[in-house]
Amino acid sequence: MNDTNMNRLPVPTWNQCGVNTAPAAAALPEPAGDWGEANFAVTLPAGVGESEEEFTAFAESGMGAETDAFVLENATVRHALTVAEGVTVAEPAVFEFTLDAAHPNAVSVLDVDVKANASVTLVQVLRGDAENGVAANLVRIRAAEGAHVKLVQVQLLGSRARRWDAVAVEESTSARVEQVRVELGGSVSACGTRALLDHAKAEYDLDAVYFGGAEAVLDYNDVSVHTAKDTLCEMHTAGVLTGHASKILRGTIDFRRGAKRGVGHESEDVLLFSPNARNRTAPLILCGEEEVEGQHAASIGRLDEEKLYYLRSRGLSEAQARRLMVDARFAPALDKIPLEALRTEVQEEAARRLDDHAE
Amino acid sequence: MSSPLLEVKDLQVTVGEEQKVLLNGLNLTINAGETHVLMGHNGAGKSTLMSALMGDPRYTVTRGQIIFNGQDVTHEPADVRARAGMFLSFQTPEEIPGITLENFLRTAQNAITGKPVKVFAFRKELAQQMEALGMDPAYADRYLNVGFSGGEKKKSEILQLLMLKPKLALLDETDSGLDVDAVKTVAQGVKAYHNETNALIIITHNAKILEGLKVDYVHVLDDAHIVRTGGDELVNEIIEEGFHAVKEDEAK
Amino acid sequence: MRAFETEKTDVAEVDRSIYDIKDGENAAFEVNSGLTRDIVEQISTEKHDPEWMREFRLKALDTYNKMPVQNWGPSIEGLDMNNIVTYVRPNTEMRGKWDDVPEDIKNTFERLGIPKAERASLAGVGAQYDSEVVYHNVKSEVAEQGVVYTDMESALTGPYAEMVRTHFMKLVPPTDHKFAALHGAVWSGGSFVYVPAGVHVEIPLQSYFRLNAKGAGQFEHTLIIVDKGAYLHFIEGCSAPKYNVANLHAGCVEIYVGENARVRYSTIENWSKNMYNLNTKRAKVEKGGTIEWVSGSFGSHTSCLYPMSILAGEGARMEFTGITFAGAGQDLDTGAKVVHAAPGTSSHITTKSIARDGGISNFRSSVTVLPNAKNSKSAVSCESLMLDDRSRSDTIPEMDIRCDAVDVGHEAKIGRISEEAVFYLMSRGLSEEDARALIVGGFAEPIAKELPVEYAVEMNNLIHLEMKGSIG
Repeated sequence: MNDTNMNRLPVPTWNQCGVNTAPAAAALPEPAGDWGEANFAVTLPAGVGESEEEFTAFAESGMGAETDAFVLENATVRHALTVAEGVTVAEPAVFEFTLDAAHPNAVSVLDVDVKANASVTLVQVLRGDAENGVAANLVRIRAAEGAHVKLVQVQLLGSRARRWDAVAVEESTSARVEQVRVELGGSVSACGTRALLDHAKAEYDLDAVYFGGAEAVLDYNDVSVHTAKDTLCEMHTAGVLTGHASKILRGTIDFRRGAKRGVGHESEDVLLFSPNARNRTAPLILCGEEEVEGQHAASIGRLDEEKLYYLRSRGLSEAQARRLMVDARFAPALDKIPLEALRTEVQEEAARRLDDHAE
Repeated sequence: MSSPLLEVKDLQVTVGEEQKVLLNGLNLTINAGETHVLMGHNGAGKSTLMSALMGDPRYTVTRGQIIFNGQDVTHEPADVRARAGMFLSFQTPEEIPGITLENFLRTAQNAITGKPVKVFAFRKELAQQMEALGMDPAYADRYLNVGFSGGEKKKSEILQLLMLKPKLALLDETDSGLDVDAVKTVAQGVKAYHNETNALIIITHNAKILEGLKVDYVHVLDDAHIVRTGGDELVNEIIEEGFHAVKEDEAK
Repeated sequence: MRAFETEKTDVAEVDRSIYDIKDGENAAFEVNSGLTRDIVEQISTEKHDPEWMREFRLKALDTYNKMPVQNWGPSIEGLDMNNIVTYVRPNTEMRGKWDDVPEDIKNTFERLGIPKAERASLAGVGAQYDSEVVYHNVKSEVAEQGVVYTDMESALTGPYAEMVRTHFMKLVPPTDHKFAALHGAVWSGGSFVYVPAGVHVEIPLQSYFRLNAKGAGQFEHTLIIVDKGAYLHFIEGCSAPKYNVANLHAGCVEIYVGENARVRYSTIENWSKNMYNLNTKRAKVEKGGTIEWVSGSFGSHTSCLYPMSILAGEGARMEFTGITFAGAGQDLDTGAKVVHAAPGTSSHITTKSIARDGGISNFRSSVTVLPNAKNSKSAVSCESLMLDDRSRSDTIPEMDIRCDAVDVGHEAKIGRISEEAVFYLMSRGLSEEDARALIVGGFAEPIAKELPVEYAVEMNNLIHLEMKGSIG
């Protein structure tokens, strides 16, 4: 059943649990001879330059080297960007992809080389619902000393397309990479980020939300590798599962020897709205260093009945109350979406999908 | 004439890898039977002095000497100082899960005296002291300071003072965060402890804890050293007029 | 904390050297190293197995030979199955009276305080020396209540033979994993306990396993059946002297907890540090029943130990309280598994891990809530303490939730001893070593207080022994 080599749990556990790798249902598509043209639009603000070439060597993503190689080989859309030293890019760089009947596929690579003390925000939006559509994406971010990169990924696919999203992060001293990941659709939503914090005071933050309905397969693998002093990660995920959706979240904080005063916090909050949904969570803390602080918390279940009752006693319908409580969980991620119109679109999509799938 | 209980000579204390200087050229002499009060605005170095005297490993003594009871303890670890007879009542006492207050006190008493603790007498004294401090006897079986309120933690410190009977007690804002009644109780505890053979150094922002104690010296700490020393009249002067007045006095 | 008290308790100081005394090897019978059909048949013949057991063993051997070694968890490379003497029977028959046990074996148990403990507070003691049960006794008043506590071999042919046949390796089938298959093929010795409905065994039953022959395996089987509304506390202790070659312990514990029954199973494992402890423990809990596991892991070179609870009946409960302390050269992978298979079930897992001096102390868990387990609750809490930067402590939990009407929580924390706390204790006169030992003891205290008192004392002594010389 687990015959993929994707989203591998950094330290394996019982095979029966089925979390050691992504399930076959989330396997990469067969490489198509011709992926066709992708429907996409790019807005590059002033301050973001195009680079001559892609990265030659780079740390693997959370999905693993095999997935990275697949996307690199098959990519039809490639961007290699750079932000010069000390430059603060005010407006976000926006990449919008749509999977439609004429353009059902988008295989894309985004390389971003952010020089010392520069800062930039990248927004990737994926929409559409092409039958059997494929969106495979690899983002590689190199953040030099003191650089600040914000990567916002919004996935609003319908239930017929599939998506893979691999992210690899390399950071220098005092760099900070923030990732916001919003996954609201797709029959497959497979994502994995790996942040390599091998310079002092590097920081990686992830705020992720997901919504899984119908027969969706959701598979995530996020890893923060701490090898240097004073590194920090905050990885927080909130999700809603309904229908027959099946989700696996692997979240790993890996403190290697030398990561003195490293701090890592990780959490997941899962709401189950259907008796047929399946949630698997494997939150790992790996520790080979004494002077660290690592914490993980997970909470899985239905909405708190007492809170629901309280809200209804104030006149809210069950659907309104439910939406309010989902909104509250999604807010930390959604509030970080920099474009107001996009933020509103996401909020409305989330609400609509929640109502559509309510049982 | 007998030698002083504590002599601090030209003390320089730094913190961190950058060796930031917190105390510099500080001198202080304390004899048995005396009560000293340390005053100064926040960040003047009062707590640093207390911690450095007790051997807090966060601070480094980069110059000078701390002589206690004739023994140079400048570079001794905290347990050696405790066994020599020094005691610090912490501003924020640590919570130690898994060890009851009673067992801890017995362990500490044994460590300090080097003699087996007589269980019956110990328990009797503990019960008496807890009653005097208005502590619920159930606290003896609770884990050390875990989940204690601010006031209970301070009472636990004074209880330790009374049970361990050190020669020198350093009280670092033992009265802060306490209500009026609790301050009174703590003050009674301190008074009960004090006699001609031991000495006190007290950091306080109000005079309540000093009630019933005869204050011999008041030191004003500023800019990393003692800028003025006087009698107990200084306490009220500072409380009423603030440190500026006192410092201006010094400038005259 | 107790270890700090200056007054003498009547529990003798436990010293590692006690465990390290080896008796002269004086075994009557040894099979060849390695595992073949011949060996398994030989074991079966020697043990006078009933025919079904002989077949069971051979089938398990087939499974064993076909199964791969696990691809996760600690390395077991140091274990060369072809060089393991799988079966060693000491030169004695089973005895009912302590006086009849041979001197050298008796000396070992005397040193470990076993009969003394029995006299003091235990309802019965089963002591396993290598592969055979050498001493088995149940206090007469317990026996009068209908409680059966006997060795597995007797149980196989005695009045409870049918009960054994219908329960033996039904919870842990040989197909479960390679070492369960090995166990099925070569199991030897162990205990059978039956507590009739409604009987409360007020004082604990205790068994003590000790492995003496070098390069040997111990494969005892413990089968415990506690009928409706009954109560039992079973205590298991394990130790072995130190040899330079690897030893293997692949025991199996199966516990059937009847409706509204309660079983508490306590273990202190202090195998010597050449032991591969690949033990499988499992309980099935019926409606309203409770299983409580208390587990302390201190010894062994390598451990894979994850007691599993199957909450099969409505309202069944499990509690797991465990502590693992790994020092130099040790790789201890411990935790718990639970399957919620009925409505209104609850599980509570609380563990503490300590790693020092290059040791590896990992926590691994699995919580499964099946679709029918509505209104179930599960809470997992694990805390790890790293005592230096050469050691490792990984936390590897997994949750599989297939039911929406549940409340599942998980918390993990990792850190080190607070330097502020060390200073605080030192300022009260404790040496740095004592301060650290006290803090580690305090960290372990929530587990220690779940243990029977003599084991809690032993655990505290072990912690102090382990912490000695840990400074600098």
